[in-house]
Amino acid sequence: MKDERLSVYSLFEENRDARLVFTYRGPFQDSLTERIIGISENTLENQGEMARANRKVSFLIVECFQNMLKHGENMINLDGSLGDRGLFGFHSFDSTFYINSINPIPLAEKARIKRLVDHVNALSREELKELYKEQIQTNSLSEKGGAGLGLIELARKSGQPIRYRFDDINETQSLFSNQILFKKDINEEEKNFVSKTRGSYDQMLKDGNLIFYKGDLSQKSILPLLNIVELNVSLSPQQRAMKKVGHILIEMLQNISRHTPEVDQRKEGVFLIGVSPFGIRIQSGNVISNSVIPTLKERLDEITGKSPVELKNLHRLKFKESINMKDKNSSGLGLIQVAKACNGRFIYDFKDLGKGESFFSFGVVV
Amino acid sequence: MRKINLKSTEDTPQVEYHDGDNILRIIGRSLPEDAWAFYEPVIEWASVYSPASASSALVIELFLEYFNSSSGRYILELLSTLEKKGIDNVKVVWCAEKDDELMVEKGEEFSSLVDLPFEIKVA
Repeated sequence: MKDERLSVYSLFEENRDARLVFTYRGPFQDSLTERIIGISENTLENQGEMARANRKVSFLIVECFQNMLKHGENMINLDGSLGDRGLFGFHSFDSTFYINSINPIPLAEKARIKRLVDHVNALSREELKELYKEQIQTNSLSEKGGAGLGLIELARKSGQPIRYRFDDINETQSLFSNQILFKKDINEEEKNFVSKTRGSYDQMLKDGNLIFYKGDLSQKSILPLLNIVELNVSLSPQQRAMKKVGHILIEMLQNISRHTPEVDQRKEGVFLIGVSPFGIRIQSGNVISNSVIPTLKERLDEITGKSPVELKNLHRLKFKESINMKDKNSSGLGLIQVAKACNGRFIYDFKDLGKGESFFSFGVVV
Repeated sequence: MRKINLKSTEDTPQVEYHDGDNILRIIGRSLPEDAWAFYEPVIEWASVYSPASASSALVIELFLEYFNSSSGRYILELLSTLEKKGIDNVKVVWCAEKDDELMVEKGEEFSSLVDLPFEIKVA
């Protein structure tokens, strides 16, 4: 574990002003669509003005994600094997929602896609409507079916230009990065996430991270996240280890949920899942009051440096004791259970944020 | 004995008991934030369960996909409550999927904590 690093704090800092950040690096499958919408819907429900735009945003997510499924392809590695499929994600602020996707496309398609996006971006609302009507009858812009229509729909529903860039990655492929923006308040400053997302993607590839989330971690938000992890379990060749990820993730996120003070009906935290040379990495983090640090440290000291057998015995002892405890919902068992499940392979850190608060990072490898 | 028929939700399991087959089944995900609120009526049911009124031993069948630590605490409390009814009158069947190592381990742990006939079934 000494070589494993905690990276949730820097990711939290980087995205501090966003209400919701979700980045996903696969596997990609149609059954994921509904589960991804579950995440955005939960956040937008409590977001004032944006709550009314919830359906529109869901529509954009579906269209964008399915466009990527339909037209993206795997990267071709140097040895000819199939590599990564790209990234899908979103950022939500008070009154804007950004949907970002990156996927490899055949180099031969680059000019056609560029022409199409530029054309769509140059049209007025009325012209887009006309083009849509025309295309739905002839569907001539894309031989693969739907690509042109998808883009026209995205431009129509978002009402904003599609931002994009291409980066050629090998002799036959280019990486197509794009951003769909939904704005409720026309005056809110617009950010351009295309390059930032491209940077995040490179970093995720380098670190082996697969999912990153920043946002509400109350019970209703944890469930859609678990549904995504569960689908990953069913698709993963490492089913045994991935199944463990689900169990540990629940405990880590519910611990955050239980110990984070609620602000605006939200309990904010971050988590990431990735693959490290040591196994599957799960990290979580949240802002805590400095007053809870002594109790938390006491609990961490209790489990630090223990062998798997010692953790098993400690858990057994505390578990048995917990039956007679008066306080029905706080037993400290969660942390011991996580330490036991990862055989003591965990790391943690406190970062002082000033004003009596700290950021608590916790990570395990399974 | 009083019937129990709680339908599963996104974060709570299905719990059912019919005196016909004398089996108490708990199946699904158990992740409620307030696990006590969910398990209290089941534990209450167990405390008044009377083996004298049943023609066969009570079977507790647990097939949990996921459960959080607080649910685990009350499942143990449920089993400990039933332990008092005598080892001839209650049997536990703990089911887990074959690739779910952690659930099998948890079954073994529960089995070492209660003095009841305990079968771990891997499907």
